Amino acid sequence: MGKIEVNHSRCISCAGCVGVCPVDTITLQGLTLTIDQAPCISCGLCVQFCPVGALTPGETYGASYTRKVDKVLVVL
Amino acid sequence: MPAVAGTPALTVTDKPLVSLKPGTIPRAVDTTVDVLIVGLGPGGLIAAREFAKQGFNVLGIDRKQELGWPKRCAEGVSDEGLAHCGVKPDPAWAYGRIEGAALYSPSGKRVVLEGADTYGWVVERKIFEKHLARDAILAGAKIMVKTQAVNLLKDQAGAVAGVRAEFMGTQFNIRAKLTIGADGIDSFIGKWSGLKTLNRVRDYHSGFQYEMVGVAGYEEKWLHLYFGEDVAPKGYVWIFPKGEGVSNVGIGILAKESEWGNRAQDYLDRWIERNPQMFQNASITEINGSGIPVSARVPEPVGDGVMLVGDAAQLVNPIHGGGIIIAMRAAMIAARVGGEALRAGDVSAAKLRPYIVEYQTKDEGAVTEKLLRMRYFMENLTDRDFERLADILDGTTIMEVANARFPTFIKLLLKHFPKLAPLVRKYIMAVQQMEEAKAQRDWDEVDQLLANVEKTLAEQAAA
Repeated sequence: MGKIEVNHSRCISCAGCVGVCPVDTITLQGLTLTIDQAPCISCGLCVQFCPVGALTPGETYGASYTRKVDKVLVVL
Repeated sequence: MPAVAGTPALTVTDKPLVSLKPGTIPRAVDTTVDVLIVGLGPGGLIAAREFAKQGFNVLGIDRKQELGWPKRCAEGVSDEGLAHCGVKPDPAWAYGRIEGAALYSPSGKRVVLEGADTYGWVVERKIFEKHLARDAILAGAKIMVKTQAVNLLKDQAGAVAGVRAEFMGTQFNIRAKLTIGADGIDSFIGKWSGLKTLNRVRDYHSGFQYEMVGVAGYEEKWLHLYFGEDVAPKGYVWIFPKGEGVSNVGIGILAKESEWGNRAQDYLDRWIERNPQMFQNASITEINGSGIPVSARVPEPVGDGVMLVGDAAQLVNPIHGGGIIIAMRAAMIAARVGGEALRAGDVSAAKLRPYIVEYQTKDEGAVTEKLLRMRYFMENLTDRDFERLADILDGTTIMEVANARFPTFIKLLLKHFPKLAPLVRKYIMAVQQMEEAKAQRDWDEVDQLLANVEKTLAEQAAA
C-alpha cells in the first residue's frame, strides 16, 4: 500500500493532480495516472485538488511528515 | 527539483543517425530536427504551423493517440483571437455562435454583456485540433501521436537538446535545436528544464465539466456564468452553448477551497440538482476535468534551447480561466522569436526572452497581469457583495473590467461609497495582495521548502 491511492474507475485523466504535485511524483502515461510512491511527501495536495475524488490517502500516508505538510500548504 | 521517478536528464553527445527529411514519415527512431514541439493542443499546433511556414524542420509529438481529447476546457474562442492567429472558423468545428455573456448573481440577478468584443464561438475541440494539425502538416510540419516524452536530452553545456520519447513501447531520442514545451498544466518539459513552473494552490483552479444535451432555459447566443459561495467558491459555474441543445456545463473553484465532499464535481452536481427546471431532460455526453493555472504566467518561460507556451507557461486569463486563444497567440510570438533565434544560430535563454517580453508588453500578457488584481478582488467577495455589484454594474463596465480597464469601475465604487465601502476596502486589499504575489514571483521560498523536504527525506532514508 502506498501513500496515495488512485481509484482508476473515478479518474478522468485530467492531470490536475500532476500539475499541483510539488515534487513531480505523479505522471500521466497516455491516459493512465501513475504515482511514484517513493518521492511522495504525503502533502495531500493532489487529494485535496482532485475534482472527482479519485485520489485517497493510502495506508502509509503522512505518518511522519505532518508538520511539513502544513508548511507545504502554507507556502503554496 | 527531482525529475520524475528520480531520472536525471540524459546528456547527449552522439548524433542520432536519422534526420527528419521530406519524403520520410516520422517513426520511432533516433531523429534530428530543428524544432521539437511537445504537446499538440492549440498552442503546440499553431507553433508547429508557424515554425514550418518559416521552412524549419518541425516535429510535434503528443502522448495521446488522438488529438483533441480528452479536452480540459469549455471550448470558448473569440473571433478576434481566431483572426489574429489566421484560423478561419469552419462549421465543422465552430458549433455555438456566441454574441455575449450573461452573468448571474447568487440571487439570480442578471447582467448581460454584449458587443463586438464578446463575439466568438464555442468549438468542438476534437475537430478543431484536427484542423489545426492539418494546417500545420500541410505547412510542412511532421507530427507523431501516442508518443510520450519520457526524459529530457541536454547537451554538454546543459542546454535543452530535445527529448527521449516513447512510441508504443519503443524509446528513441529526438534531438532538436529548439524544444517547445506546449505540454499543458502538467508540463514536464518546463520542470525537467529547471524552469519554475510549479502550480500553487492559491493560483490554481479545480475545474470539472459535463458536456450535456437537453439543458433547457438558457439563451444559446450567450455564455452564462453563475456566481455565489454555494455555487462555486472563488470561481463560477458556466454554461457554454454549443448549439442545437448541446452545451458545456462546468465549474471552476479555487483549488484551496476543494476538499473531500466539497470538490468541483460535488459543487456542480449540487448546483444541477438545485436547478431541475434546466436539467430534468438533460443527459451527460462527456465528462471533463482539469487544473486551471490562474497565476497569469510563470516567472520565466524560456531557458537555453527551450520555450514554454500555453498552460505549460500558465498563460491563462486569471479571471475567466480561458486559455485557448492566449496559448495560440503566445505560440505565434514564440515561433517568430524562436525562428529568429534559430536563424541567428543562438537559442540561448537571452535570445529567446523577447518572446515573453513581447507577450507581456504587446499581447495578452499586458491584460492578464492586470486581471490578477481583479481576481484577488473577486475572490474576497461575499454573496452580498455580488448582489451589490449586480445592482450597480452594467455590461459595458464589466467588459471594461474584463479588458483590464478599471477607471469606470473604481468611479462607480466611489460614487456609491457609503453602501459599497466594504467593496472599496476589498479592492484596496486586492491591490496589496497582488503586490505580495508579485514579490513572491521568484518562488524562492518554495524552492527552499522543497529542498528541506528532500533533505529530510534523504536523512530518513539513511536512518
